[in-house]
Amino acid sequence: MLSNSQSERKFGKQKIIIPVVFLLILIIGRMTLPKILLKKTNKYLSEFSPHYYLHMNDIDLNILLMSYRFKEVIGKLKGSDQQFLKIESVDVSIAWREIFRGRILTDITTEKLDFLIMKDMKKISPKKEEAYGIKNKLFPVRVERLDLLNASITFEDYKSLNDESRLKISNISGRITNINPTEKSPLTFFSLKSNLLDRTSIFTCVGELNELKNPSDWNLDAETKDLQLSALNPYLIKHLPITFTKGTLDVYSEVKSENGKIVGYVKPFFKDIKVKMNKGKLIRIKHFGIEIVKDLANLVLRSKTRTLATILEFEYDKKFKIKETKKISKDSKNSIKLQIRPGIEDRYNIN
Amino acid sequence: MKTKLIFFLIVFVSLTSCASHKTKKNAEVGSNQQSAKESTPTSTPSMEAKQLANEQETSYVTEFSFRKGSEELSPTSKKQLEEVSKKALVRGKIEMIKVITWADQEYPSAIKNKLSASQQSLAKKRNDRIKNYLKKIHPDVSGDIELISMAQRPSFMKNLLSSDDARIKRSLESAGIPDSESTSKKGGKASKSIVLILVKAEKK
Repeated sequence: MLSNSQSERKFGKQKIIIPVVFLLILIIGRMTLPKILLKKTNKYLSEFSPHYYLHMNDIDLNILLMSYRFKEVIGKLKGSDQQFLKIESVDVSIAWREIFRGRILTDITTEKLDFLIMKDMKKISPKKEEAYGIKNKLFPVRVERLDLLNASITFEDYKSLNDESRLKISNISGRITNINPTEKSPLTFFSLKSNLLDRTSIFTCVGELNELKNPSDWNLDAETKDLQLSALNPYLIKHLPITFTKGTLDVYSEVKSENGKIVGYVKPFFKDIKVKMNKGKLIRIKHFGIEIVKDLANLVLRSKTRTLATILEFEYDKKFKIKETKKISKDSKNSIKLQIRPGIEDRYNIN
Repeated sequence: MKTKLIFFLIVFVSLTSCASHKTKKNAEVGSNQQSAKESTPTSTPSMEAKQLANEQETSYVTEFSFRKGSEELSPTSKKQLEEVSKKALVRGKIEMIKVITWADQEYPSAIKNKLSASQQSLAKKRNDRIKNYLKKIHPDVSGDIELISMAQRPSFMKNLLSSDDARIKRSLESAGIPDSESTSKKGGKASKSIVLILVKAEKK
């Protein structure tokens, strides 16, 4: 039997040993766990799809803040090895605001995501099982929100306005919330903002998606403001006989898809426009019809008005068609019979 | 080739089917009753309001203006509040209502921090009016009504705790609303109010 002093010494040693061992486990775990996880995750990501694979360069763990980070994630097609995805970092962290509401959810933030939209997107469109597999492997805790910072999208099949490089939309920031909808909370919300053509114009879109329905219902509102028409000139100079010397374009649009049927409208506002005709191009565009071009020139150049607006309404139900274009006419006293107001009209909502 | 044709047709159709009018400093309704009826509504929420609603995970948002210096709700504003809350109640139970209101000046910049006492009082009175009206039209609604004044920036503690007040104001700034120092007041929200209704869907 131990004496009091021996018991005290033993207890004293345990008081030091237990936290030291715990600390050692933490340190060893912190050093080895990311490497083990990285190897296992990369193995899974290389095999889960027959058409493409994903790979990440590193995983960082922050046990205290309960977060982790994937670094330098790339996606390539199998066979051709064509890269379609690159992400500088993907941060996954606990949504602390939700903890106070009694929910354990995570937020994901991507930094510098570059995505290539290819001619044949079927190769990289994941099947439901593949998508769920990745989701469960990489994001085991339900995701509440995804933030995109400084992202860009490149279109493989489309040239940019100067025809020299691929069309690219950059400086995209966006947010998607309620990524894992439930019956009680079925709508996923998304919003996106980016520059268009020049730095002065901003494209914004917000929308909702109900993926619990099959096919999914969605609705989006979009607007772009103050697009300098002269930014279109590098394209126009090469292909059309007009050049904008002045003017801006605002565009407002709403689109809804319900039960597979799409309806929507686009409302462009051309403001303060001044146009110059490039006569030398008339011969090259003969096949469009010189008369059409002449009418266009007359309308724009001889008209005293500086702001033009219209609404193009369209629908898609197995076939795309323009339903209606609101035509405005001037009466004999030169006043307007119908005025179109700028802004989203809020016509559509999904149930 | 196909792209060029489509692009040209879009430009051509847009320009040839366009309305045209001489630019005026203040946009007005057309000169006759017919045009007044056919013109699109001015009371739809702005893109900033929609972005905010989106982040709060709700589709039920409305936006309206106050007359300068006044906290009285116009008949149009009351109608908008009634319509949006009616739509929300069809969906389910109202969980919370968030009322975000400006005084007659833009959101104070980081340098200014808060507007004058009279402007702060005006924003508060407007918020109270909206709250009282909502309680009047829906006395059975049990959800909280949170009032946010855009006459002052969030305090240090609110920022630190990332309170709702701080997050909403940060979201609006990211959406691009001008502040008191902005040279361009485009998209300005002075004298406006945004009301968001968060709904708890009822099980069918």
